[in-house]
Amino acid sequence: MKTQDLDVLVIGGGATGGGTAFDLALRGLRVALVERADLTDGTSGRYHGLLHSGGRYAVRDPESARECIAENRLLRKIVPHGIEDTGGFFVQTPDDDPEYAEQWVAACRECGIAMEEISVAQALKEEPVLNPRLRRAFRVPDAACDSFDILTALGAAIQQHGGMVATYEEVIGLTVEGGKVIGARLRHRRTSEERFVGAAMVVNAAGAWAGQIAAMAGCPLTVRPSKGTMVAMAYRFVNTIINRLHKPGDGDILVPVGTVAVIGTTSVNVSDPNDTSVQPWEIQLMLEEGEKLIPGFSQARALRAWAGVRPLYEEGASAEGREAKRTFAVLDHAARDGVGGLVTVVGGKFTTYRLMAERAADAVCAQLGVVRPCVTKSFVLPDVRLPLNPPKPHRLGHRLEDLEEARRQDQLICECELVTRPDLEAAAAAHGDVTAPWILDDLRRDLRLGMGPCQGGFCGYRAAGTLCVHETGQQDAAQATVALADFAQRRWKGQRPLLWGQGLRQALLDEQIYRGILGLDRLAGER
Amino acid sequence: MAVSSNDVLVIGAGPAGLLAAWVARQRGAKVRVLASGIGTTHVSPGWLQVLNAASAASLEGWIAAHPQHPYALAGLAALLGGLAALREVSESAGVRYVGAPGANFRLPTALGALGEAAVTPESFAAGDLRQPGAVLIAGPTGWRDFYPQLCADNLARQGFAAQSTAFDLPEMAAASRFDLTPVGLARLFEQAEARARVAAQLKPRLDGATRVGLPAVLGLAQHAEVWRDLQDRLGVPVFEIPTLPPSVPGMRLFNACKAALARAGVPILLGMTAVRGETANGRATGVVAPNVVREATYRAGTIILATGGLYGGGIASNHRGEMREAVFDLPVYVPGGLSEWFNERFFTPVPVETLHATSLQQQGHPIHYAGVRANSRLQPVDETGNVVLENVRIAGRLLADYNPLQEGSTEGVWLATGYRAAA
Repeated sequence: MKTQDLDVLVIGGGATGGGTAFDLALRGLRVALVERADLTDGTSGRYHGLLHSGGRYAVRDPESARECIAENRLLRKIVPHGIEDTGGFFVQTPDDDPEYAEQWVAACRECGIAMEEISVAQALKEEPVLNPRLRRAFRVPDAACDSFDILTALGAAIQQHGGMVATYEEVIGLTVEGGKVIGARLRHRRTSEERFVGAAMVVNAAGAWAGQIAAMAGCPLTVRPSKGTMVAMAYRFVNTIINRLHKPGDGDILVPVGTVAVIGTTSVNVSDPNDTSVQPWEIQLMLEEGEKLIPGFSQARALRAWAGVRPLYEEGASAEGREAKRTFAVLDHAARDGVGGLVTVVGGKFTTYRLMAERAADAVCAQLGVVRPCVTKSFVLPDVRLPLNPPKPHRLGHRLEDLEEARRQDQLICECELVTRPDLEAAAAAHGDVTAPWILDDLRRDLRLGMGPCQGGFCGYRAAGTLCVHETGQQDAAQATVALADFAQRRWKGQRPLLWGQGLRQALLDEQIYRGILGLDRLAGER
Repeated sequence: MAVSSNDVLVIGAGPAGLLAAWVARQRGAKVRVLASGIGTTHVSPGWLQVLNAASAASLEGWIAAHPQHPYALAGLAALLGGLAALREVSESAGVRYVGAPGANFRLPTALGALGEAAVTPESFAAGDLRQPGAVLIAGPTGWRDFYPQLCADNLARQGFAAQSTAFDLPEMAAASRFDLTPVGLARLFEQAEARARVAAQLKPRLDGATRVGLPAVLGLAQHAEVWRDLQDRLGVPVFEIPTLPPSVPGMRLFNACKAALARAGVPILLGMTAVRGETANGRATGVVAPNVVREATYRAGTIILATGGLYGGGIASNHRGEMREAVFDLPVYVPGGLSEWFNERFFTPVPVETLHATSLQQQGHPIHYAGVRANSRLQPVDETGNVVLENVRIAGRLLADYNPLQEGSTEGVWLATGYRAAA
């Protein structure tokens, strides 16, 4: 990265940081985005994938609700390939307070959320597995959203517009001179190499970690990390997003994502934003709440559990968890703390990432004296995988269609998620640092490799082997073996809390493959 | 139908069940096998592990130190008896095994690690890395289930002379549009022209290699001929390397057992799931399995339960951390609560030399020790050691108190307990 003539350094490779760097690049500024792991490694890659209609926040947090519905409409236009227009239902189960519905209807009208009541019979006709004892059902413009695809598109677009994206580089310090941040010190996670990157402005978009970054410039900032646990079930169950029509609580959203369905979330205040541990009670709660929406839910196979950490923030307020607003803040630390050259953008939702980016970029431009309008509202992000085609909305089944239409005579490396060898080779070639031990996990985010029912038992070896073919691969055997062991452990983390029934049988088969057949444990010891 | 006390009903068509059926038949019993489906032969590497190296030299001593282990229950004689029976069955189908407990082959895995096994199919034996001689690892270009490069380079990294190469097999594209499974490839190797094409490509690339390793797909029904023919054409020993399931060597073993039982007049009823057992006065009187029209009850004097463990379906588990034996609801040893079943690390990398330096208990994931506890006749027992069902025997992975992956005892327990259950 050439650093001396950087206008803006953006810290944090989630949706907010990616969106901000893209917005600034479109305004003609020289930007770099730095992320301590892969893009989406933080909260953006650990959420349930709901593009909010705003209905969830209409009653208690109308400002967030208005932001959500406005951005929901925009994102469908500017990043269609990352969004599946599933639509959404808000359903009242026998366990929900019936009084809440009228309040909610009025609030949705107030916020301009296009909502219509449908008969329970109609809801059941569209989604037959739902609880037949539902009392009321409303249709809302929710959608399912693939944060990996959207960040991949943002990353590519930043680079197309002259910006730089540096992953696996961690900010270890901000350099302040004369009351102004002049750049950041970075350390590469793999090589441990350190370097200084100078910039006229630094944007702190580190999400749940924003407090730690601000502290590096001596600015006090209290982000309240709130951990939410989600469970992916091995079936899609529904083609519509299902929300419980009650005061927002735990396990009351079910999102069909690709071939699986994700139920979420819990809300647990944590002191450390790195705490993504999943507790047994959270799993039990998700399954019990899921049972209220879909009878038999808790008997179905659960695939993975994970947690993300919401970066809740409200200047001067002390509300926590579900009581805290989901709005965001853009903080100019010159006015707030007397430290120039630093803007923090924090809070918000994935759904509102573009708006947050716009406001943060406006603040940066104001400080730099640049007068250029935001154009992200009308800029359609290209689909990185099909760059020549006009982007089209994502739909379940696209991958199969692509495979069949292209008549690709090649082997499926990952049968669960339909990843072919050319897909894998192309994605690997696009990675700058294919020899990194975490490369298979990076490829997972690119391709959904290993995210289906076998959780990498079969495709892990195939992917490691493909990266180690002399003619086309870039890894040697030692690197490929370490990468396979790393992948196996990362997949294990999300499965371990859910191992009973069929999932347990799958895990035992995977262990038989990795240990009994391949002997991976005997080679990984040489690491 | 009159039930003779000499009738034996085996539940489960995995290796332990099939072996038990064979042994019982040899001893004169009238035997039937009832099974949901095929067993773990199809996900096994193909070799027969008895115990990992550090302990294998003194099998008697190791058994004495682990009195709850299935080996201790069944006894060393049962292990040897089971091995002899397996050899007899498989050789009748042209599948030969070599080696004996006490010393382990060191055989390359598809990843290039060293697998240990006391007994191995003859077609694996030339891969033994205790023997000198450079190896050439070869596989079909573009096949997703075997990567010669990864295998050979990992072997080389451990100090073995190993090279790799890939050969083209144009029939692969015609055989399957997207996915060629190991079974599909094994059938291709049964064509003489395909073998000739492979050998013609490999022979000029031997470059000093004294043996050639190929994925374990060298024929299914005609395996012996495929293997011999390739060696003749190449002029050097050829060995197979196990790779991703389905396991062709495991299928050969399954098919050999099935054929031997058919010849011996033992019916194998597949697709019949034993959903519950019937008992009276501390004895099992029968097993209920639904067929397409109704539930049928199968009766026998002795019932051998070889339904497998948590993987095979002999034990079911749920999200409350409960386990249930699937047929008779026998007492199951459960290693703690749900959150204790598996360790946080998927596996702990352990240098081979130090394996088993300490007690085996609680190494690896505790879940592996789950199962039905039994006495030395393999009758199921309860927490206090009392026999639960006098005429039931437990064989194979359904048994508690061992960790096959950690110990390297997977197939040894099939053999010892399959044999003992029929005795």
